[in-house]
Amino acid sequence: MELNNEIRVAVPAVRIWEVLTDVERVAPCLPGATLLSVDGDEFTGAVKIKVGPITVSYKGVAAFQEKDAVARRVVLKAEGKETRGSGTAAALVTAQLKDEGDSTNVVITTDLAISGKAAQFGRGVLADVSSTLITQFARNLEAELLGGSPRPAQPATATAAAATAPGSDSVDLIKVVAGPMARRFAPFLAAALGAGLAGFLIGKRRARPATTTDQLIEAVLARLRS
Amino acid sequence: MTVTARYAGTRVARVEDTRLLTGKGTFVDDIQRPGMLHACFVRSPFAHAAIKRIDPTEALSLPGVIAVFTADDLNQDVREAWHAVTGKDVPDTPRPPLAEGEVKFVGDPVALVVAENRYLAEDAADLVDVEYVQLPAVADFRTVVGGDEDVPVVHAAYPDNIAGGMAGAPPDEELFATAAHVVKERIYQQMYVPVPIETRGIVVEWTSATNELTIWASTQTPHELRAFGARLLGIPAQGVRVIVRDTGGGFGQKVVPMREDMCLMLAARKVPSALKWIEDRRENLVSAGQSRHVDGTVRMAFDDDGKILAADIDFVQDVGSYPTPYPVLTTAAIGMFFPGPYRVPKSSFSYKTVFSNTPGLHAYRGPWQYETLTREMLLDIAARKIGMDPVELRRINILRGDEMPFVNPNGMPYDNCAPADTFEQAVKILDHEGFRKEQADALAQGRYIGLGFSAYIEPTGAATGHLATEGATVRMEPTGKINVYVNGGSSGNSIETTVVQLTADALGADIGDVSTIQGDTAVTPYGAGTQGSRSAPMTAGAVNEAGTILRNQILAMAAHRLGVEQDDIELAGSRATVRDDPDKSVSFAEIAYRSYYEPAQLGGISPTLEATARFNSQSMIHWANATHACTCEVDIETGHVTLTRYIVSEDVGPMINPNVVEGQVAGGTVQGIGGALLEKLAYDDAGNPQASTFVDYLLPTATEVPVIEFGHVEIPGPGVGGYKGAGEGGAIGSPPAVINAINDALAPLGVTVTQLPATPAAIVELIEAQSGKDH
Amino acid sequence: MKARGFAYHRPDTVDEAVGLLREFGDEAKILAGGQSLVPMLAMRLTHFENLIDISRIDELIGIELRDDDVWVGAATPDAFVGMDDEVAESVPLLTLATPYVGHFQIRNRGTLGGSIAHADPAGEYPAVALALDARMEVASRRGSRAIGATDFFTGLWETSLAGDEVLVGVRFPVWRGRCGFAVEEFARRHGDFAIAGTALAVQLDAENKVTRCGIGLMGLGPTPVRASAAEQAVVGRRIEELTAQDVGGIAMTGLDDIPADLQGSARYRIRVGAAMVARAWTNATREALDA
Repeated sequence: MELNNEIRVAVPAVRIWEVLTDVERVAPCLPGATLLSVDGDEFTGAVKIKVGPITVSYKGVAAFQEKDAVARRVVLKAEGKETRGSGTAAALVTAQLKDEGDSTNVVITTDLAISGKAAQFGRGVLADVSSTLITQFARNLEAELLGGSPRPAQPATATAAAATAPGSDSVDLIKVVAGPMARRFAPFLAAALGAGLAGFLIGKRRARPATTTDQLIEAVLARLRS
Repeated sequence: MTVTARYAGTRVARVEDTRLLTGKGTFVDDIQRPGMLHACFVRSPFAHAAIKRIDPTEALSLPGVIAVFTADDLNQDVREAWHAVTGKDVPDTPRPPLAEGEVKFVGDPVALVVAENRYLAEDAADLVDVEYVQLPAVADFRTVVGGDEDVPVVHAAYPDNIAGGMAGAPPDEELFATAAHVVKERIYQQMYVPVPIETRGIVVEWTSATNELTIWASTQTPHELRAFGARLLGIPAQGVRVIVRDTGGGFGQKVVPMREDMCLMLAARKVPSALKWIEDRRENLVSAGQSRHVDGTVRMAFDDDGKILAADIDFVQDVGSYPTPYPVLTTAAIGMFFPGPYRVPKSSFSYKTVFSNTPGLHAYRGPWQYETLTREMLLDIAARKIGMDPVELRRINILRGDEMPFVNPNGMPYDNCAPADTFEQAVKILDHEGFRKEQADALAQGRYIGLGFSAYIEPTGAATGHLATEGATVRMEPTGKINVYVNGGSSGNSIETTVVQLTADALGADIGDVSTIQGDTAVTPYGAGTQGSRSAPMTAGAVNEAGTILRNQILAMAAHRLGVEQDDIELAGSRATVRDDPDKSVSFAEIAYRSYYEPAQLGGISPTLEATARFNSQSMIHWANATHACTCEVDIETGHVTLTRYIVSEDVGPMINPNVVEGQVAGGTVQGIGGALLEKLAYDDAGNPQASTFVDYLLPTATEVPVIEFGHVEIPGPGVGGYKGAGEGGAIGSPPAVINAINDALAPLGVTVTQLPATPAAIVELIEAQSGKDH
Repeated sequence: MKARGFAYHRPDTVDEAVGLLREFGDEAKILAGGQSLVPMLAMRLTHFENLIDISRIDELIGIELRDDDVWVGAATPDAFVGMDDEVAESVPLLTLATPYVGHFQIRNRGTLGGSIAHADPAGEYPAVALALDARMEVASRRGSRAIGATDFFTGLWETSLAGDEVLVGVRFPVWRGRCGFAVEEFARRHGDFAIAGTALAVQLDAENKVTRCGIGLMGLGPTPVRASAAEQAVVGRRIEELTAQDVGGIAMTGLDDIPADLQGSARYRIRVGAAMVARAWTNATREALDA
């Protein structure tokens, strides 16, 4: 499955690049991870994933497949086996930096393949577990880059929404609800959409198929209007 | 005739129930043997991978772990591994006991761990270190046929992944091109499985002093398991004993020994005491096998009046990675039976069976039922297209009793049935016209209710090969009580009860005096077990053969003792009574006592009060048939389907026990309802099973199924007593009845379900897609 | 499906229980009814070296009115909650929600506290707690505190309980006046996990204007969710001005991370969620109007 995360940090791309290509600074960002050995661009480690009562521990290797300083792109390949049990996890993580002067947009795309018990449930658990992991990784990375302590894993507050400059997305979403409905409920919708937006920008993840929340909202509201 | 049929045809209470309902049944997991060890399989987490290395060191270091066996340890001991249902000369698909070099589905057994208890065995299994190199997998069999060069190969010996195939005469394309009405649909049935309440299991115990192997198993075929086990290990069959007491459901999953059973039998001689394997529910859902997974295109051509001119079916069946023997066999039946119980002048079929990296195909109650699913769905679709009520379309095409014998266009000789009778009975029970009024009223209120019919004809009690005969031993004990011994395979289908009824009738015994012993190969005559809806007709035949002999012996002794001719005697209630002088009578107990303890007083009659005989069925097939009718309501906001009425109008000939027949039909029907609405053994793109527990694999429960109403038609079949088989029909007729009811309800919205299961989300998607088109 | 071995502890008091929690830290897990935990242990999806069974601690079992709340002890079985008269009188949402919690066998052993601490996004009790702004009472060796429902559910099966804390009780506020309550849930079969559902409470004034509204949603996110947009949209309005369909639609706005799985897509869940809220709104407002 494919997971997407995006973080925008008020740190120049150069500094982020340093961190991303430094195994010993990146590895601790992965929640529950322990670095066991480093050998050039290859390292071994262990990861303990915990979501609620479920814990799965993997041990494996990871290696940088690509470090393109010009394109500002890092590709990391990781493979691990459960320490107890026969399940495996394999991830191809691509981090793409977009220089925006004093800040940088980091797009993290993860191609994840899991086998074993964790992959044998239909009730959407795996997607949530994986996404939580990657989202926490993104937040920890951000904290590491900002030099502060990691942000708590909670949906964004209004403050966060203000801190992240709302892009053109917010305008589009308000436009979506234009019409008789908007006139009746505009103030309430704006607040709700604001809260939704913040979550949208901070840690949006897409599991296949890639339908965004706003598209779904639009579809539902369109149905109500028709 | 000196015997009155007193019990056959009546709703006798089941002899199995007391022990089963009070928790006193003896299932495989109840077997305890001295020093018994426990087995657990290490299973592949990948749908397809090469096995590089298996390291059991850490597992073996756990105290209480006795052994870890791999393919290297077990597979080479296989002497012969063919099954009677195919015979030894038919080439078979690969079926190594443990995975050899490659794993081919998630759950593929890679190693067998033996430990002092199952907890330890699971601890050890977690510690067996297997190094795999993952390979691309075929998760969806529909990608195989279609010419994509990149489809991974499941078995090297089958580079195109095609296990087999067959085609009859080609379709009459000119007829299809010119007929007044032609319908064509692509219909997909999902993978779903029997889910017996008792998972698979086996206990093996090797006694080296006498070179004997004792097997306790959960199986439908104890004698074939014995024969297979003997061949597998290269030991004389006399040295193998299979004991089966209670089996909690089989439905085809327990007809032939599977790879895990093979592993246990192969390991038996390598462990110091008895070895037990009980599968847990996750293993059962992930690795026991799969069934019903078929994708195909069906067509029918009609004349102006709606009479069927021709039918054609072209399909692909998924056989998984390690299908149980000869999947081509039952798959061919799909093509052969596609015309169903209708007057179809021309029929054509063509199919392929293909491998995929999923568990292997096994039989499931009426394994060919895709023919009924597609034909009945197509008839409803045709009716709507032509502008006829689906009931009317069936009425003008369904076969009547006076048309028998009728040979269907594929050469199937229908006889001893009247599909039109079961059909009309179903229509009457439902009040079809009343429902149409109710439906119109509901639609005016914005509610969507619908009605679905489905009719089918099925071959039961087929007399082929080892299925054609059945043995019985009937014995009067020194106390006068009767024991009847038949091969067994009782797995919830009440064949202890029915054989006791038949035997009591055959001898004129009181039913309380008759007991049955089944399932122990040391004690019972050979039989093919319970499969193919054969138990009723075949057991009736066998009991008749042996019972007749014993009855004559009883009559001879009674006649001598009472001083009358044999013809003057009536046997009833465990007594022999002179018909015209009822005071002159002698009990079975008295007859037996004399025979066993005072044989000198028999007057020269042989003191033999037992008989063993084999029944050789002369009837190739006993044709059973039924019509199912179902009404439902669809909540179009959520897509939820509620079944409001369910009617089965069936003809299985005279019924040995109506309770048993209704139980069999109801059970199969509920399985079919599950297949139509709820059950799906789903796999993701990588071949990971998604429905590995009951959270995701949804079985119908009492709250999803209405009370099933029955109508019986009793047209005698050709066998003894006229009994026809009743085991599989329910599961055949039900999915299309449900789907047709949904399609009938949603017809005003222009929605037609053609992919199973009809989940709420799938129905909503169809509704939204259709209304999207309409705007 | 045999769990790995573990040490089993059965403390008699809360104090003992939190002492054990502190002693064993990550290696310990609280066990109440076991209806969620035990299957995970049996399937070896998780393992704890120590299980601390609190199901028989008297101080954790009970239902009573405390000020303007109904207090339910964390180890109180669901079945008791569903049968209780005080609950039916004062927190009808709990009474309405209970029959949806699995099957009666599960409810006989499962506990309200266990359900809330497990925090399944499709859970009924968590959605009720959220809709009513319940307060979770929590204890550890460091002391006691109360956590509001809006701060309690933090992620999939995650709560703001610290590792050494145990939930001891939940206080559900009592709504008085012209109130109506409804629970509507859609599941594949009776007793299955909710695909989408709602616990809805509404209060009207004398002019049929909505004075309060609490809408907890099940199955529509990684946690139970408040349909805040819908709540804010209805407060202050006369119910004659609102249609159930509108309320249902607005309830589905502002939702993020709607699950998509074997049972249906996110889009499907929104459709069902809107229908469930609409039906609950109809039933609850009808009850409030008659009150």
